[in-house]
Amino acid sequence: MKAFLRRGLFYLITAWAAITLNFLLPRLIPGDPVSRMLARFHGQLGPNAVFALRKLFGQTSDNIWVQYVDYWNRLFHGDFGVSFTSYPTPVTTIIGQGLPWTLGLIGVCTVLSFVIGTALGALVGWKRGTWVDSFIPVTTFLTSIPYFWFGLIVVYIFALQLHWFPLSGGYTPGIQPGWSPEFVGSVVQHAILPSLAIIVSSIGYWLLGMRNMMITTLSEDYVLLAQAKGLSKRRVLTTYAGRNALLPSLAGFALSLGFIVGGSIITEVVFNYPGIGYALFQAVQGQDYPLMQGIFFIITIAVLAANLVADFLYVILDPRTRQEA
Amino acid sequence: MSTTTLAEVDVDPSETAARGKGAKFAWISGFRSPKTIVGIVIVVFFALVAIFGPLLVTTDPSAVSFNVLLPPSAKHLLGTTHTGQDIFAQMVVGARISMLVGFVAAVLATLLSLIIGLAAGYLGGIPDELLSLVSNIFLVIPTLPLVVILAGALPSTGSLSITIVISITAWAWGARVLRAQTLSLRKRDFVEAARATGESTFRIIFREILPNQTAIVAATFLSTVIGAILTQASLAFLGLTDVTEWSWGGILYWAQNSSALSFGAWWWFVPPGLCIALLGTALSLINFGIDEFINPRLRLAGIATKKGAKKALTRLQAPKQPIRGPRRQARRTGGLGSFTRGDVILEVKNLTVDYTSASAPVHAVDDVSLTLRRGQVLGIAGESGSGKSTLAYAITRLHRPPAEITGGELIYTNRDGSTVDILKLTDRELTDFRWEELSIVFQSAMNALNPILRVGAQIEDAIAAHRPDMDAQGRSDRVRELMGLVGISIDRVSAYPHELSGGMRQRVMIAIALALDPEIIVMDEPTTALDVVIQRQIVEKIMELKDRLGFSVIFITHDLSMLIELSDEIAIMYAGRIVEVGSAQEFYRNPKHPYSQGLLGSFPTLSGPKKVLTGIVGAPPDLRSLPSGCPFRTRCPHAFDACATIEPVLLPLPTVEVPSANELRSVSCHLYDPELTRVPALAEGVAK
Amino acid sequence: MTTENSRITNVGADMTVEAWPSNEPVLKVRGLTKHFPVRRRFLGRGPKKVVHAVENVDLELYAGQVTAIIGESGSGKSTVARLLAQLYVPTSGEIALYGKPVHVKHGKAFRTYVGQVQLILQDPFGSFNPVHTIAYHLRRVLRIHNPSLGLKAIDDRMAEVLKEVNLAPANQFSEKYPHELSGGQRQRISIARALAANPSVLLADEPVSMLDVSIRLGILNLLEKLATERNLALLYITHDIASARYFATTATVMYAGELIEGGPAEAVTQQAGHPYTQLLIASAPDPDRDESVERIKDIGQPPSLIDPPAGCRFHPRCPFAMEKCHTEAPPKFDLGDGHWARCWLHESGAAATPMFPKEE
Repeated sequence: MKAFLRRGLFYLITAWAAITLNFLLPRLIPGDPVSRMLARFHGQLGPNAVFALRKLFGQTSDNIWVQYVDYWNRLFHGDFGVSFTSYPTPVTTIIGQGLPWTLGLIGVCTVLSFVIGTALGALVGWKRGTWVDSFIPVTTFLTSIPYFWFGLIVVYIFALQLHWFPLSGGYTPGIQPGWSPEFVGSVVQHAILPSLAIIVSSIGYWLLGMRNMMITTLSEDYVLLAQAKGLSKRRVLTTYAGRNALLPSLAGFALSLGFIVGGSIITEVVFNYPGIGYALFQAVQGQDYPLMQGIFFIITIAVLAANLVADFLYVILDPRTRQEA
Repeated sequence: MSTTTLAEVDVDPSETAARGKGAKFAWISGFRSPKTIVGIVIVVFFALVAIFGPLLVTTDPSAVSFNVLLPPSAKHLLGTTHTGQDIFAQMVVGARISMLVGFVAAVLATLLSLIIGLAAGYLGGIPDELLSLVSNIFLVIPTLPLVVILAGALPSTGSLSITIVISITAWAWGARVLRAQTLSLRKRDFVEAARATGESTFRIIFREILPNQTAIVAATFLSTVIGAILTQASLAFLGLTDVTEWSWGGILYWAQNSSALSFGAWWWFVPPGLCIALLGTALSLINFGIDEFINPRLRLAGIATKKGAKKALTRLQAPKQPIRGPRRQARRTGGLGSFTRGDVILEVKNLTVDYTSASAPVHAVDDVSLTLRRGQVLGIAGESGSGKSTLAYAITRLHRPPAEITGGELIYTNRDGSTVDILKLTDRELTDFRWEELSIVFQSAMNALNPILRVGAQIEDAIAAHRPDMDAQGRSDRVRELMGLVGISIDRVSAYPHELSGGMRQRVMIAIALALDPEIIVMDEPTTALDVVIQRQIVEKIMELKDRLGFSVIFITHDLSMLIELSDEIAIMYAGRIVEVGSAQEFYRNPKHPYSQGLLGSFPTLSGPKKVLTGIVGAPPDLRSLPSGCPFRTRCPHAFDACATIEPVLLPLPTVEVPSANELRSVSCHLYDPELTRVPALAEGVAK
Repeated sequence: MTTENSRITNVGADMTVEAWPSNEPVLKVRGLTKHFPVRRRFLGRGPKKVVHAVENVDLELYAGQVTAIIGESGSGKSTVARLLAQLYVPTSGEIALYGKPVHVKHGKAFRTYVGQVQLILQDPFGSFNPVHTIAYHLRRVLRIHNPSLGLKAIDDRMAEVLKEVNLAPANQFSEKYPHELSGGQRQRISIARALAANPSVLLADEPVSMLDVSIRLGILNLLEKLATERNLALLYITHDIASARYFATTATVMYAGELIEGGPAEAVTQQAGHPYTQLLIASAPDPDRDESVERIKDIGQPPSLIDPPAGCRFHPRCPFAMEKCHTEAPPKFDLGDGHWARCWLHESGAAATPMFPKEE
């Protein structure tokens, strides 16, 4: 329980650090970004938006602490400001539209690639020294592929050359979004290529990590004793070797989540997928600071939440963490 | 912490060989593996391209021409873009920025990791808490969106700013690894020894700790390079870098923005990604070499093949080749086989276990023959490297590669008098046989218990595996009965191993060994890691259970005085051979082999008057370079000519030297061979 | 002689080692106590906890004599060695070297002190840095404690100390890396490293427990010889009570952070006065023991040092525990000839040498 509180506190501190970073970044930009921006959006912005912009970059008469408190206040009211690029849509609306797509695609794919990669890694580690070892160079190559580039390749082959799957987007335009079979089918069809790109290019990471842990664990005395006791191969593989090897892998999963999710998000750009990764890309292109901030905030919170879940699983799997002196 | 931690260090030639190259940059020896060499060749190739390529390529990568969207040809090795630019030129020039950003960012990030990791690990306390917190925050925050935002916020998007942004976000993982490494090194004895000699903190960090981290720093650096190159490519692809500067990511940016995909211009977008992936793979391959050095278990993984096991079995059928000089032939007929006085349960006949490696095989157990009788304790004593643990594992057929049984028989006698050779059992038969008839207790209970499984479950699954018909209630009753037998209170059945003390864990190990009422239990230093008081409790428990349940014990330890107390019969091992066998009390009163005499003369005693301790000169031999003839002769006070030329074998003592008819005593020493000439005075002195 | 001269300069101008009376301890410890704080994280609550690792230890080390501390793992015996080596700062208590109280933490004073008091560690495999040669280790010590020596002189001194531990010729060992030597050779080099500082006190923390039986005797004999020849005060820390009998002049027994018995080694091992010492002796393997005498059985386990038992720390395991033992810590009771025990059984009126009751 105490370990849990400590982790919880850590996530709170991390969230605070990320949010504060979000607050500070626009203020650290040298020169006068507001004037530059006003020139770019000449005439499009209403007086409220101009005021919000000045607030965002700290160009108000309030001192920084007042600004900071104000920033938190707006955050708690879910007010991330108004997007410039799709003025005057609130940032929350844009994020709200993109988030389900991203959670559906990136969330599911990350979990899938972890589960499949770890399971394969356990098998490859178990069968070390046999033909399966030849998987390793291939997997190494896959882990070194840039996500987005692999996206380009699958688009080229499966969408442009073979026409098996649609080229881009989240669903066929014209279909009314809803729980109709037509819409769901279209969403699944559109998700296959991006999923393939994400899973294939991230699976090797888990596979190699788990293989190494598995080999290390297999030379433990307790595995030898389990074999000596005459336990079935399955029980030795799962309860003795696998579960122990999984622990560091799971800890690694929590820590690498930020890295993996970051890479996956760019994949959305390749597929013009309507998630927040694509929105982030557009925001950066259009120097849409309120939108950038809002998206960074929401990704960070999502990753932290996923970390918390991974930690929870870890505690369930490892009795040693439950006992705190 | 254990006080008596004289663990048997089994000879593992492959490991010593790898480290044998010595010292500071021993991990470089990992670079001899083909994988690693391929990696180095690729990285060097790309580095050469990045350094010299732009000087050699005459075509301006930005120059437009009318040769638009040409596929690869002799003139344009990688074809052209939609504005007729030469893609090969772009790739060569782009290699420079991609690799420069990657390597410089990795250098900066690794430096940052080193400073923070070393500081946190060495200082400990509050600085450590704070620095760890900061690096964990940087780890958890999704990096790429952060870099994207940082890059978007930068006034300049030149390579330098991108490099700095990448290194700021890439140091955290390395810092975490190095901190953990520093923490563990700081606790090492050599750091304490350096402090105790008065070495300054500065020198301790930079001369004692840091040189031990070169492998980890190198591994961290290489993986950071991969990460940095990928990040740079992502940023360039998103158009967040200066896209007029050619880099591999930048080429992809132009390809994407110019619809290279829909033109079908695969030559435009395939090469950059392929190069990035190739370079990344090459760096990972180098890292595998380093990983295998850091974690030797990974290196050994390749040896643990089914092939190896098969090879061992086929060799088992072949007659054993004499490997070293002439060996004294056993002339007295009968030998050990004629000792069948009473009820023999296990006979080890001419067992040989080799450690195979690239160089010549090493006989860890050399032609060992032993007899175990029902209800008795056979004690095997030996120093480190004597092969006693290898023997224990071989008897249970739990030895692991590179150890291989290359000869001999293990004859087990069932209660009905039928016999079976354990070495000839198939895997399936062995699984059924082991634990049912023969079980083992390992030296370290902490390592032999699964840390994440309740101890009750670990006792129970042995029962479940062998008694599939028994129901859950029956198994649970049996577990409780076993825990009662070994003296653990029943409520500990749901405890995890880490919740028990060392003595309790060893009791659990014994309960597991007893689970199926085996006839024989092999105990490999079961009390070595325990304090004397606890050790006494465990030994008494074992003896009590043995008398009650009637099993036989093979007890292996380096602690000769304890072994004499508890054994019926004792065997002394030296350099993989049995040099003396006899009843424990007779052996204690009258050791025959000079090594046995030396061993007994090394033990200080508690009761009775103080005796003169004689000890043995020299050190246990290296199995890879044994002296000719008798392996003990270089340390033996009585060695004579024949000892250097003829290898002695274990022979029963002539009856004149045996005080009683019941006494069985065999010695492997020329002093007791009447047919060899020697200085008589010496031999008499020994016999006394 | 040069060695004697340099020792005098190390000690300081105000004392001369030669003049130090042999019946006065070289190193004297009074009330040495070490409490380690239990590490707490951010959310630690409740009263601050400490591990009572060493409690109120008195100890004297005499020149040319071997003093043993016998104890099991966790008894605090290694902590005592590190406190004496000034690697840990004592919580309280006084350490006096040649009668002069020592208060050093770091810097020059620390170097001067460790030049006098050298520590030999248990693990011959771990106590050398694998990346440095033997010569590096030895040269560093010589350089630290003799900054004025030239390269040639340092190498000569290195050869001298290696010869002193029977490793000759020196160049056969000095250019090797630690892993190229056997355990026994490494432990000899550990001793050589300690000697290189030219100390007056050697603290040997389980110097032979990780070595093979056949090698142990050689190392112990070497240490004993050095103590006599160099007139060193030697502290021998061990878990092996039998080796203390043979090797030490004076033996003390440590339990749960406290010294509970002490005196001439033969008296402590043959007429043990404290029930714990008797338990240790009864538990030690000994083929010569009279098997007809029923062995005493142990109750329980060593106590938690975070919350040690009140009164005598052994009372929860002691078959003789009386009312008084639960509340009052026993003082030292003199058993004659410098033999003492901290046990209420020796309070006047109680039996002089209690024996454990036979097993019920």
